[in-house]
Amino acid sequence: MHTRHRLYGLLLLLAVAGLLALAGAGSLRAESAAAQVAGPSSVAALPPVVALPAALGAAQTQPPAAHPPTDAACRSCHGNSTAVVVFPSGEELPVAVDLAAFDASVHGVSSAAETGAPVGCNGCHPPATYQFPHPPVAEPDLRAYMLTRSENCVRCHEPHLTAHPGPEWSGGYDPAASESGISVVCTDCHGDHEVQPAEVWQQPAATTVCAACHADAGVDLTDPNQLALHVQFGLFGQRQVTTDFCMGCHGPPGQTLTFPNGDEISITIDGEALHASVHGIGNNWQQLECTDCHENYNYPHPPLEAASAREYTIEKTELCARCHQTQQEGHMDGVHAEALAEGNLDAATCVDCHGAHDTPVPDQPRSRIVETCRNCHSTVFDDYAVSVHGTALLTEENPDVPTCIECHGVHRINDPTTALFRNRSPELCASCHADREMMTHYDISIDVFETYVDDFHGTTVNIFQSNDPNTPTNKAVCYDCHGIHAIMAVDDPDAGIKENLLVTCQQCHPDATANFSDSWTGHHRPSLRDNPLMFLVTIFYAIVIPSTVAFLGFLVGTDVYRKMRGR
Amino acid sequence: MDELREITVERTAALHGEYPRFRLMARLEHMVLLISFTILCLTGLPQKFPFSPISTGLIDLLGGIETVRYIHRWAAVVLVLGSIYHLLTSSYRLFVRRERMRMLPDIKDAYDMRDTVTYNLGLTDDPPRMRKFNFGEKFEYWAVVWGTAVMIVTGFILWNPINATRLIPGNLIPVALEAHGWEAVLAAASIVIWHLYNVLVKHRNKSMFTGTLSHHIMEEEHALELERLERGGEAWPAVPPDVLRRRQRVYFAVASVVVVLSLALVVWLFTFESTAITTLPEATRDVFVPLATPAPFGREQAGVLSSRMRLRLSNEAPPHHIVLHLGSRR
Repeated sequence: MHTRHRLYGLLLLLAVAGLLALAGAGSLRAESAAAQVAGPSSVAALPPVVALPAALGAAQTQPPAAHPPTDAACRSCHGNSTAVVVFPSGEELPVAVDLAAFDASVHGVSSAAETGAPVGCNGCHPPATYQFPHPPVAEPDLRAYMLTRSENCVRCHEPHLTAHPGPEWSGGYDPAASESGISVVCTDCHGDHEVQPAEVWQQPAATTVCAACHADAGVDLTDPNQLALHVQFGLFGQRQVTTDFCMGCHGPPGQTLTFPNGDEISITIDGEALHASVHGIGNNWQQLECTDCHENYNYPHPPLEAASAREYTIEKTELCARCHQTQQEGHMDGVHAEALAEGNLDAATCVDCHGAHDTPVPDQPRSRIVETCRNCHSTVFDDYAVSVHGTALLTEENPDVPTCIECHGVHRINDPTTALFRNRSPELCASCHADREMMTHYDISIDVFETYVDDFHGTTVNIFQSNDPNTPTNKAVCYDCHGIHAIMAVDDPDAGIKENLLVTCQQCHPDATANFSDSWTGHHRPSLRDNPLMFLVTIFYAIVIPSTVAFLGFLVGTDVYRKMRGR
Repeated sequence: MDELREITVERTAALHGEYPRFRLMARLEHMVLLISFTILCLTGLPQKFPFSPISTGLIDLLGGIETVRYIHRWAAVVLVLGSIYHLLTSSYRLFVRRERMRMLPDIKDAYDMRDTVTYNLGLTDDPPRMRKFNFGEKFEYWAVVWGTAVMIVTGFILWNPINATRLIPGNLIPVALEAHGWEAVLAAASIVIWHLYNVLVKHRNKSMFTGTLSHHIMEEEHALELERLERGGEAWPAVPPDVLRRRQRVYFAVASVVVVLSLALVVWLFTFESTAITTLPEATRDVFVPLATPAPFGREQAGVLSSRMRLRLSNEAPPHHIVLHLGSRR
């Protein structure tokens, strides 16, 4: 309905305009006749690649006017007219065109060499819509008019990617996502009628065009050093370099960077991933900009100092440390930093575990933790994956079983091969296995730690732990019997400790016989059911010791009483 | 020799109003027991109560748990040797000198204890008149005999668990550990409460070092023995020299065999099981085994991984293995 109404309105306007033209434009008749002659050849000169947008196609279905426009017709008015187009917004646009400059532009007379005929007026302003008399402008304001006109450029020119936001057809990124919200279109930089050849844009002087928008007093944009300063201190007044600005180059796929040693890495940043990362909208502080991490890293970029991609990665660890200081300090005390200090460039730094730009929440789901460590410690992962802990985590995302970090730490990852780690390891296991609430869910005894400490192995380790935790001990700790990463259920038929107790004992006691393994109380507290003899001995002494002490104390007491009475 | 020395002691004692109580052999035995028992307590009880800060402090002072255990075993050897020595001198006195076994308890000890208590409480006016070894001393003696036997047997099992389980069921080992620990507590408690009270607090009784006891203490604790000695009774019955010599010949023949066998036994015990535990050799394991995919960081940055691998190869970096201390040297 709306379309039809608008169509009728348009026809009515055209009819009125046509009557007015017949009545009052007799002086243009000669030129119109000339245009009638030149018109067909001008239309034929349009490049064959032109694919008119559907809207223009629809407009073409209107009945052709009696006098198709020609360049000559256009030039007759627009060369020196003082007329202006008034937009509904009140803005005015002079209709005059600097014909000399137009002729000198790439779309001027020289364009004939490439296209067979000059692009001319009709090349961009299709005769169908620019039939004379011109229809009134459809756009509400000057800017909207410019955006619509720029769309004509892509009829012949593939849009090129820029750091600027722009409409969807332009290849720029979404203006709605940019800070300014402004679309920058072709004509903003290239001009409308005085379009320059591509070579001109390679010259420093071309940056004066940038200054048209990015004006900042006292900066010479033709000097690259000054330009850098300008970028740094604000393109629009005091505005900082924004993520939008960076993404202009780093957004499109296929961007690579080659290091002096030949390493080639992708410098395309997955904007969606960055946006979704913990530094993006998920950030509970504020969404980070590129420059929050890449501080003072402006365009043009300073030359790379790192010789290789790995070196660069290691160097950039300090970027993370600026906010994540606690984690960094922990990391510096850990094995990875130690290995790095010893010259092992493979040692993990922040981004190896957390990712660089697509940093997810590191422990969601929990299995992400073990998968992260797996990247470098795959064989350890393989052991873990078949363990009671690993299977529970990987198959059901169990919230209680330890991942790597519960035992090894998160950033301050301790060396697990030290005597200290070994001596403290039973307490590590006990932190879960002596937790009544947690163990109740799994029907696991919480006596395991205390019975271990009461036993010879545990007593010894505990003494070591109290006195000198750094003294190495060969007394068994939890993982000597139960396994380090491949911890199996105790009743696992193949690798469970119950089924293989003697073999387990023989690891440290090679001469042990079948009887010997019976000396292990299986973490049971002595009772009439489990090790009744031990229970009875305990009961025996529990009676004998207090009664002996009481009896002897009584005898001593009576003697003291006698002495006090002076006998 | 013994006779001469004993007579000397006796006369000296009499001169100072002192009465003979312990012969040199017994005093030596006591010294050996005193030293070994003390050391065993100091090195053993902290192991029974490892959580006490006193224990950990003591262990630290003595040079760590391994040293403490080493000292404990050597003290145990001394205690075992002292026990053998006690059996030898006891049998000498029993078979050669044919002394009465005055340490055996009888019904009078029960009455003496009752009378001591009633006297102490003021229920009776006169203390019991007791013999050379009163009820308290007999209690102590047999407590030491019992305790030492338990400690030597259980201690041997704990020292040599692998070989012990060739003879006994394995579940006796934790039983032995339990008994060893609690028996030590019992022994130490008895000594502190009873023995130390009697010889240090009640009286400053130095007879185990001097061999003699004052008239005052004799009267209070050994009235019957005092009476016997004052009547001219011998402290220890003399044996005619020819009879003594004959018996000694048999005794020394048997005793030398027993001594040799006993010493061999002790050496055997001490070296029975030199490696109850074997320290596992250090195992090494490659812990840096990166997955081929995905790359260590950035899913799309496989190129980085390959360059890192190249870097590792080109720099000929040492393999990144880690030493796992599955066990350690003793």
